[in-house]
Amino acid sequence: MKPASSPVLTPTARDGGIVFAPGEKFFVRRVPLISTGDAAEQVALAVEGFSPFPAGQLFYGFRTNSGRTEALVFAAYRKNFSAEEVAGWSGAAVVLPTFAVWLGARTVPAAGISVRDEGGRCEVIAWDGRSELPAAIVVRAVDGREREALLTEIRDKAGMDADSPVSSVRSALEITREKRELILRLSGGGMEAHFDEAALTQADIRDKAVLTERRQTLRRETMLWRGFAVILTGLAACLVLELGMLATRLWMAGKQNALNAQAPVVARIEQAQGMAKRLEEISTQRLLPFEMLAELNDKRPKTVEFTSVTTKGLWQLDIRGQAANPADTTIFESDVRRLAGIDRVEVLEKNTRDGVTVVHYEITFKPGWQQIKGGGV
Amino acid sequence: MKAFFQSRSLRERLLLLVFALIGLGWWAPSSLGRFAFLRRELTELRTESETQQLWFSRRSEIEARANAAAKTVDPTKTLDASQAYAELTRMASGLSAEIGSQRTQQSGQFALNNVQVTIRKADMAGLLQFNTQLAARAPYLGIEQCVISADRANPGMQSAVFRIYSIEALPAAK
Repeated sequence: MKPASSPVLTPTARDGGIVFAPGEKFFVRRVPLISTGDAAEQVALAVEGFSPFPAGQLFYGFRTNSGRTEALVFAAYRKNFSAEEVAGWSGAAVVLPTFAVWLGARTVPAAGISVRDEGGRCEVIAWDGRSELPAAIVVRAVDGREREALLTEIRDKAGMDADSPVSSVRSALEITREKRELILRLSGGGMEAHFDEAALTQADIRDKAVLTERRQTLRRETMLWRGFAVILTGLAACLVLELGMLATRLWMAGKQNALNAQAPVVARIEQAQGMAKRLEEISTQRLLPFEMLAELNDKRPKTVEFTSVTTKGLWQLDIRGQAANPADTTIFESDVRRLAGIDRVEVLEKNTRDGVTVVHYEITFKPGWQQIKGGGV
Repeated sequence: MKAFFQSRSLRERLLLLVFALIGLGWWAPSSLGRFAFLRRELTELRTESETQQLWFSRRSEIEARANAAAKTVDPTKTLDASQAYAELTRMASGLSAEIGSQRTQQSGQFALNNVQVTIRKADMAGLLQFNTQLAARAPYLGIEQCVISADRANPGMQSAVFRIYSIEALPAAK
């Protein structure tokens, strides 16, 4: 007859919770490991060696010590679990034996025996004082009268003396998650086991191929969800942007109306500014093209003739001309540059063909040049 | 949302993902393009607003300056477009001249009229006499720009194009 197994301990198992499988169904061995090798492969080999059943008929998991030099392997015959019970594991994040709280000590516990009674089940753990992992674990659904027998059994398994210290706890199990670690803790203190993702994968007793497939499915679903979430976030950002633009457009329309209403006033101010500037210029400065031309004419050699003179602003003449003697243009330029009222002379063009030199000058007078040369307007 | 998504079948999830991706691919570039356009419009609006504020901040200073400039002009000596036309016609008598006028700038009490005078085949003495008469009416009449060019067909003769301004006193607004 198939032994009855305990029900799933956590009601949230199907939503990715933790399931605790009854510890009394497991047999436990501590096996040495080569720390540089793959722990899972070494444990699989070890299980095949010590198990009375083929590995394919077992649910097993393991926990290594911090130095990865040994592992505590816990295995159970599959037929000890009902089909309903195993089906209930499919949605669980991890399936651990009930004694998993004893598997993650961060320091080496003192040699001795720990006994925990919880829900009609007695967990007896032997520590050899050399490893963070228990030397032996025995779990039985027993009453207090059989306890001495259990202690004797575990002393035999762990090779411990009869006077080994025994400590008893009746603490409930507390489960928390911190920084991507699962932490199992006895409510009364005394023992705390930390499982990171890798340790949870190792300790999960379910079929390893199923677990691998499950991890792949989970990874694919996570990627799909993350992709969808990113796209949804993008769409939400677009919506926020659209609403923001709508609000901005409304504000801009109001602002533009206000600016349009003010525009005629601004135009009048601009006109007043332009007119004031122009009147100031007219009253103080005048364009004197003939006087400027006369100033240059005094220095013009007879062979140089101006063909056109164009004013540019108040102080500049654009002069085109020609000369029968090319050297005279150079003399003219030098003489003009020496005039006190001249700011600069730029030769824009000078070409000689068939003995005639064509020139193009831009001559700039200094503002108030007539006063500089001592004349008056 | 996560529960809803993960409760769908794989095919439904893929379809949702594809549709959402198409939506985002269509919407995001369109939104970003309009956002960039809106930013440019906003910058232009801000610039326009700042420019107006600048003019308003200088309003009293400009009006005072315009009033001060206006005081330097004797309204009785100003010439409107017709008067300027008549005066320039008189000055250019004896010269081969074409005269045309148009108003260009107006503000408050004054307007500036532009008159273009084109003189052809004139000797330098004629041009200088025109200039002397013009200078006598300064600053109410004055040269704004001029082009003098030699007449190649007639040595010693020039052609000249003057752009001349005249200041006009406008009647006070009621």
